[in-house]
Amino acid sequence: MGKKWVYRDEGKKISKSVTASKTTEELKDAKVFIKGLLDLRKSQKLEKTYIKGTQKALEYTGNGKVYVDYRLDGTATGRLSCAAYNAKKPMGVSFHTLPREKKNNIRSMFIAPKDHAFITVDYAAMELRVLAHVAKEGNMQTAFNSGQDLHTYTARLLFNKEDITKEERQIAKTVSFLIVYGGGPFNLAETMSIPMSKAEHIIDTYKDVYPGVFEYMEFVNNYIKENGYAYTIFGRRRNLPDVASSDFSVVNRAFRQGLNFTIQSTASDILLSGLLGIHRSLSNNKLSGRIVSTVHDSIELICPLSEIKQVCSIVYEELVNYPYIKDTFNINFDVPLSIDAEVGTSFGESTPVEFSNRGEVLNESELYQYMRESR
Amino acid sequence: MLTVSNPNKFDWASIPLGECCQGNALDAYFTLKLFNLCEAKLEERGMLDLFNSLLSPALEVFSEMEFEGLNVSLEKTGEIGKKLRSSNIDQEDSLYGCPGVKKTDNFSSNNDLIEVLYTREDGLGLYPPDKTAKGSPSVSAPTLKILLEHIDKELSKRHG
Repeated sequence: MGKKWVYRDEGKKISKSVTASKTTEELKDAKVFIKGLLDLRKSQKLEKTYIKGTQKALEYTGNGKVYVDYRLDGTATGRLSCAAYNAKKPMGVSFHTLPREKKNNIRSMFIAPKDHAFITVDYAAMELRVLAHVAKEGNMQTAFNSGQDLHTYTARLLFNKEDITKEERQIAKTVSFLIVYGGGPFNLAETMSIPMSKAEHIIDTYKDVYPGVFEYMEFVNNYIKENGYAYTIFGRRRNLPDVASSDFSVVNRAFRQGLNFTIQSTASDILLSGLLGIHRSLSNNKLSGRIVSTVHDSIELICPLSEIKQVCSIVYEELVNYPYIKDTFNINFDVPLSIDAEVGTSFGESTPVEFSNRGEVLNESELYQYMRESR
Repeated sequence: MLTVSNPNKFDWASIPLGECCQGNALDAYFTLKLFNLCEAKLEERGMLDLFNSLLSPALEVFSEMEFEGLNVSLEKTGEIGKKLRSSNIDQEDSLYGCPGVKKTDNFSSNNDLIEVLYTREDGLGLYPPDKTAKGSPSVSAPTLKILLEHIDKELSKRHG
């Protein structure tokens, strides 16, 4: 074959039949090459973006620090975004794309100063908790209120049995997120590599298990249709003029964006409120611990070693009991909010904090031992 | 300053104090005018509370974070960089060992990848499931993932 390429629209179909015509050995060789190529690209991107990018930033700042440009208005959904400043001011890297992978542990490059601890706190299953609250979904609320793992709970209801396999839990997790983001049986079949009929059956069962979710979706769609916008419990709104389009797919996209907005934006505003609460409380308690960054559903802080226990308790109080939201917006969630916190020497090297139900740190001595051994 | 048309190229150090004061005063003036316009709209749309209670106070927290920055371990950065570079070289070496790949192939070159994957006589002989906007066979990550899916499905079919 020469370089001139005659391309036909049935690319995927032909691709499949060409693949089927290969010997098993040829297919295995092709698989090794493609997997290797994808891994190489990922690894090269890590090196270029985070290693070379950070080194360039350090060269520019000259003080051993990098800086992040936060944008409160960076997304249509109301979520925070951040960037690495422009090419003329290469002062930092984009924290929102920092990978979590442990193999190279890029996050461990970002450290706490000497005699300080790096605290990372994540909201657990935040968007699904928001969904359970706004949709007033009784079954989902029961799962959260009884402290159960939502995906295992969902899988038990979906497959109607007690013992759940890892794959079944993964299906339950995938279907929950797919529903929130407007996906259907086709997406489920593709993502989980299961037959379309099975995917359809799972989605139908999901409707029986969590009917409130679908009633909420209908409510949001009707509201958008009538008013041309969606709104959240915090009073944020997103205009969706596409809902007036004569193109059905454009209207559907507006519905998906609207539903997604009511969940994502609420989750983002809960985090923002938590950020303000922590900031206020650190200042009221005259602590020198401070917030250093926020990435998606997480907040990162730095504090002197002597403040670890106090700062962790403040973080728990402000994020789990959310006084800022209660006082300012008069909102009480129907489900508990939950966090996972870790203390360590850097963004990527840390050990979990154990809290009592009242937010006291239970493993203080372990945390200090970890800090001593890590230094 | 709003009065500077291209702030990135502007030499801030050489601006006379008088001009600087005037420029900043104009900034404040226009910002207030804009705020008055926006405030009415926010109120009309029921978003003024959100602005006053959440967005406006958040600016202080974010400006502190932006101002303070984050400490980076040079040692760690170098260590991870070295590890990544060496693993990239190893990965490239193993790709050169695959059938149909020439020592002169560059894995960052789309043309070379098109040859290996689709067109070269002794290459992998696959058919691209997708094309680029310009009509050439795609070697993008999503396309490669589709190819992998086709291969995996075919292999699992053969192995029952």
